[in-house]
Amino acid sequence: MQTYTIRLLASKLPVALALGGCALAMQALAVQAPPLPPGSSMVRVEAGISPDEVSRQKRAHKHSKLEKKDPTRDDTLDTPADPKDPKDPKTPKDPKTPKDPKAK
Amino acid sequence: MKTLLSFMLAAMLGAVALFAQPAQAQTGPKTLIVYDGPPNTEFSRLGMAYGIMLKNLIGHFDSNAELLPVHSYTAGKMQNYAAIFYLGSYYDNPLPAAFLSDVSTTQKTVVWFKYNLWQLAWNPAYGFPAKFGFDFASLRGMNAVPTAADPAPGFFDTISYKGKPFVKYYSFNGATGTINADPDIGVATVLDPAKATTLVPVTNPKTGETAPYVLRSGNFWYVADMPFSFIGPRDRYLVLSDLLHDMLGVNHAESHKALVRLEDVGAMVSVSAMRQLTNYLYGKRIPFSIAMIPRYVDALGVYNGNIPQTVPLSQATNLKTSVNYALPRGAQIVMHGYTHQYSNLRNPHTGVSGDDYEFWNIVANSPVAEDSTAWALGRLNAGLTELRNNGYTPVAWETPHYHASALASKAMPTVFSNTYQRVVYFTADQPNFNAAINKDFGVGQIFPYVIKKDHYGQRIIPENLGNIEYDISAIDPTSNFNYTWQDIVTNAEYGKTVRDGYASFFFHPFWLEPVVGTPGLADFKKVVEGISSLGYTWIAPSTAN
Repeated sequence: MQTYTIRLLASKLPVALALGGCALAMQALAVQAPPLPPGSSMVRVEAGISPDEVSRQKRAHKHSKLEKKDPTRDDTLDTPADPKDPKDPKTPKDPKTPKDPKAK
Repeated sequence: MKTLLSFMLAAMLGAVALFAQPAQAQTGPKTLIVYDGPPNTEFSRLGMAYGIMLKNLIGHFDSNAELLPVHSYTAGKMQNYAAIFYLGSYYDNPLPAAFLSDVSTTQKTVVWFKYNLWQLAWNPAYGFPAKFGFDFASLRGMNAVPTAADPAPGFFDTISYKGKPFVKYYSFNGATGTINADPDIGVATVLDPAKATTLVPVTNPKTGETAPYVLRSGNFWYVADMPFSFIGPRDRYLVLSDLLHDMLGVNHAESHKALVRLEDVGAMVSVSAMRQLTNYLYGKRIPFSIAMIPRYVDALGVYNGNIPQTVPLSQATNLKTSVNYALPRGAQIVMHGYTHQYSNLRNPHTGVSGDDYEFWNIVANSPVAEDSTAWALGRLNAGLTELRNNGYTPVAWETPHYHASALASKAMPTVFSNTYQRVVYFTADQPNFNAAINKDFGVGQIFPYVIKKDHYGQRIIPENLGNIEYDISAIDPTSNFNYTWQDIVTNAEYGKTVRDGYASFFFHPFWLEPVVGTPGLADFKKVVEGISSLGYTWIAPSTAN
């Protein structure tokens, strides 16, 4: 049985090799690439985010009032009081307000 | 009152849950990303850059994709994966026969991008057209060479998806003759509609032609383009971000969440501006976050009469007053750098906190001199200590100007369970961008949804819409362009094309300061109302998933 198998394989081997070789040759066949479109040599591709997005991420914001600003002091105390807002702690008491017991 | 209490409780629980997150095994589909990396060319590493970007997106699906240059592919390898992505970024890169053969016979999902499909489709050994019901027809790019008289002759630039036109980036520099764009697509022709279907079309407005942009035939997908170049908040990159759900067979439910972050909040912040913004958001019961810079440094004394100035958090009364007011009103803290500037260098603006890069030398476009994971860790821990010593606990990290070295980015997930940002990725830890061959690439990436684990190991909460900007160059030369509230809302409209896409933006309280003279608060409200009207649900960053 073993001898028969060997004989069979030996008899079919050239055909198998030929078919296999043909398949490999087909696979290895160099396929001609399609031509590149016009202007391809001028194209510069940026991977990742676009230049516009890059520039938006570099923001820095400053104005003149930040110069010599004292960050150790609550800056709301530096703004002028709202005279219409009685709850504003910086609004001075109106001495003529009748409800103010100190008013005279 | 009950609503208020539950609102505050939810915010606090979210913060606790964030820090209690255990490490979990990844359960997503096992994925192989094969890219073009032809040795010893100028663009040998470009394919890897695209591969990293795709890998990051796949991180949304709880999948840690493996990257492999196609020339290293060995027969049978793809059988170990549920999905295989091939990124054809290098024109006519010779593909190994083992790879082509496996692609033609595998039952696994294969997604092929852009170039080199002809090596499979035009080789009769693979019987591609008969099997898949479509053929590769041609490469298309610019309709003509642009000139001064016709600087934009057009190309297949408009992808139609879910009722939106996604227009590819294009810019022509007539002086240098440079086309800043990625105009090429592979045009495929459907031969058998029973087998192959065009899912997304792309049009060439100048010629009126249409071609398949995304085409599917059974387990095989063809994407005509490389959607990782020139990306932005309205880019065709979002189309792929959404379709990845179908390609990977992980269909997340339609869900749209919104995030708002107050940006660059450091020692010089205006308490009044912060209170106005806090009051507005609190009034609408919208949770928000504050990107807090723990330590203020003006290394060159640019804003302090040329006398260097440092303000530790313990002395930053304005900052602490602002944050203490916001925290019980729905705010969470994001640590935004340690000093948000680097050394005593103008990097590139002033050397002042909030202005400059901290973990990247943008002047030299290189890692800083001290760059290492240990150096970055030292700064992260210093910032955390400063916050904690003053009673603050951040829920996430945000890199200044979204730009850190690879080694610094690798440090971040070792300290923070969450980052909340965009990210720049590099093809090497010590990149050489100027090499004649094998040069490196650094690529910035935006995310439309949460990334569970990126290339550097970070969990990423997205910021994908950008921020309002005004041209106030008359008083601040570095603030020299407009990006309007309408821009942000339009970006949010595009974000909704991703089935679980976020609308996440940030805003500088600076724009409310009277000296600037801009309608900051009014425009901020328009963004919030615009995003709300699109159907997004506002959440705190600690609950993003």
